[in-house]
Amino acid sequence: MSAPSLLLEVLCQPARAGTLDLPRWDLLVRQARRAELLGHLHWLLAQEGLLPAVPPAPLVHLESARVYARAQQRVVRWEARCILRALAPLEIPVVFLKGAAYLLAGLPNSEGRLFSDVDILVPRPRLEAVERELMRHGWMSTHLDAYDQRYYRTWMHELPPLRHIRRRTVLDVHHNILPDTARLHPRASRLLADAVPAGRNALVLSPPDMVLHSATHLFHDGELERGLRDLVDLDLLLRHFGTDEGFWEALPRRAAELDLQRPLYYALRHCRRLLDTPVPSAVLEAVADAAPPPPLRALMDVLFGRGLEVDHDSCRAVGDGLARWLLYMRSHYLRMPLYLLIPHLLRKASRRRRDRGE
Amino acid sequence: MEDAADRGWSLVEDAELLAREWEGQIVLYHGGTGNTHLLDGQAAVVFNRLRQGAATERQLAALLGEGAAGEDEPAGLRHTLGLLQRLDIVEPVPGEGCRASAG
Amino acid sequence: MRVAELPPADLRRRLAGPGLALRTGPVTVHIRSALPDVADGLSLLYGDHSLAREGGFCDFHVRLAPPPGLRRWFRPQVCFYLDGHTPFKPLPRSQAFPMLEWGLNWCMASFLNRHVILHAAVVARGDVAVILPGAPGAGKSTLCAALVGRGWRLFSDEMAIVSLEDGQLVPNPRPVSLKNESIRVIQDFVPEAVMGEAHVDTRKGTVAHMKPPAESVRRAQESARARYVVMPRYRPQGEGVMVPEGRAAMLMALVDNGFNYSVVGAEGFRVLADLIEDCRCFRFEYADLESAVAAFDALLAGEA
Repeated sequence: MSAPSLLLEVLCQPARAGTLDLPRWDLLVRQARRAELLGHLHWLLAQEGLLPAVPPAPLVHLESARVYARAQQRVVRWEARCILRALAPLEIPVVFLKGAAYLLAGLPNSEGRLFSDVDILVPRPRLEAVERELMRHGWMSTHLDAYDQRYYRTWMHELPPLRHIRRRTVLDVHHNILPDTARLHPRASRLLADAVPAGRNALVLSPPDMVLHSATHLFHDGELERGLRDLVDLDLLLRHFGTDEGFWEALPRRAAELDLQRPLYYALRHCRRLLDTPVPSAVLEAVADAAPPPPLRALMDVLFGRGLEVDHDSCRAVGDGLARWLLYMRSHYLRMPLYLLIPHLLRKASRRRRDRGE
Repeated sequence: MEDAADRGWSLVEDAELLAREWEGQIVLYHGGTGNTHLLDGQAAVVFNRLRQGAATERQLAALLGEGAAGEDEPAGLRHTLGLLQRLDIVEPVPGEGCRASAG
Repeated sequence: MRVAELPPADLRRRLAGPGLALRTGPVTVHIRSALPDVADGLSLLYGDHSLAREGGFCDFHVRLAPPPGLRRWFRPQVCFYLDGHTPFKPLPRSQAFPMLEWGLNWCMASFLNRHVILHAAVVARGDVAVILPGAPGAGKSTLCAALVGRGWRLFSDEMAIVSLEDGQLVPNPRPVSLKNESIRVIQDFVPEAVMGEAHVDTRKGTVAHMKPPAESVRRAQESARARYVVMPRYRPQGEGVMVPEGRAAMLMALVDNGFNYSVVGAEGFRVLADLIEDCRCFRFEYADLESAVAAFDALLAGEA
């Protein structure tokens, strides 16, 4: 593996930031901006009391990213309020996932984080009613194409994304955290049963489930577009919940219950490897059986090592493109059997060409 | 129209509202939606009144000199409240508790 | 060292090779491009700007280059890259220099959120700064160029940059962007102005840039407080009179012209409300530049 990026170095050892000269700051800001971690870097340095050591020129960009993150937090908070109000008549549990959950639960990884869509998990039997209420309150389906509608509704674990007609925000309504076609089958009813309150009327996944969902999203379902940022999420969740009594005992047990040991294995391995996340050895032993066989393990270490690094010119190495392509294919392969996957990817590719006007 | 006149209204609860006023016109920043609004005329009067606390439609109508003693329906006020509600600036007070509120 | 002190051949070599760190207003921009149009444009219009010393911090790393692929051989195009990624669709190659200008505007409007940034021109006389907000096509840049041609200091043309720390306006004197008929109008009104190449058929019509006065560039670190907000509109039958406008309505106009107002949020509102509190506000319809400049001079005569 090639040398880690400056950003990874500073994420592991924030005190390094106090020793950087201006050209190194220049590089650090560029890498962090590319990885969508500039706002997080501001938070991290503030936590460590290192902001006074940041020269004025780079500080401008750290502070700008913090302002941007706060704007996104405002949007997500208001969105959560509107969603809860729209769904209140149904009297069902509404579980916020990913970024919105971190924000509503006041977790450290919501600070400085960029958000994309809002994700919620609702009981599958009430999915139609949820969609109806949301439409009544101004959310519209973004994927109007009949193929997409059928694809989502038949195979996926979520509705086609909804966009609010006035606010233009995007909402993903899930009934599970993985597609029905995927190779792993967590039971959504168990996730809902363990959800915990986060502010008025909102629910979030329990700490072990939140970690497992984040791990599953990154190592089983995702295309690693924001690999390092998602890994930082996991690192912060593990550090934060790691001090709760019983968390480390519950985590591997819960992974076994939900059929999510493999993603947990990858999450713990790569958090430790890249971000020095403290993980008790008993927990590592508990998930060791979930590791892939040695030749595949070595390959996956290389692929994730590349895929999780910053996608910036200064961090490129030979084979990067191939690594990212293999990870992309893997994420789709894990989502659905090949007889579904191949026609789907061909369709996606032909549509991209059409969008480019070729 | 007794019931409607007793309906209570308040400023929206879960958002920071910042307002600056010049010559009877209010510029309002809504910390929930992130939108900025210009309120004048009735809307400005209603907003300023609700900043003091919740009020019933009857109280607001009296302030505006509209629909005294339940004669005419205060159409202008309804329109203004509807507008402010659509902008998430005001909301109806749930239940009965509105009449006891400060004025 | 100023850009003009660099021999043109060196300028081209630096741009095509290691790049050039250009200081403009509050930022330092690292620019790379092998395209001769970019070098020529910088040499002509940024001559008075200074270059940053090597080995410092650059706010933005930008590059103008042909997009990858076969397209480079027929109907050549140019892309604006910010640190390796392009936020825009490519444009025809001949528009490389305007694309640099638009790209820099985009960088500043997107990544300087310790400032609230408005779509407006700013001019100043002494320590009195005037903000000219206006919709595209309202004649704000034309008026700005005319005032600058008659001795007003150019603060900034495309954007007003207001610091969230102290509400002060931050100068950013860069070439003034003129469109269509305005180019000829300003050439006639300010014959001594240095004007860049006219680029036809851009998405804004024909565009040419006027070089900022050396004195304005020299004072690019001196911020000022806004004292007037004047919303101009070019009207062939206009009277050239300043009509007072309410502060609330003008604050709304500033908000509507915000590039990053929705990002800075409550802080931006407070700063702009304080700014407008200290300002006198006018709407101004003008027909000819001579009387427009006179009206502005008269505005400030009351200040003395």
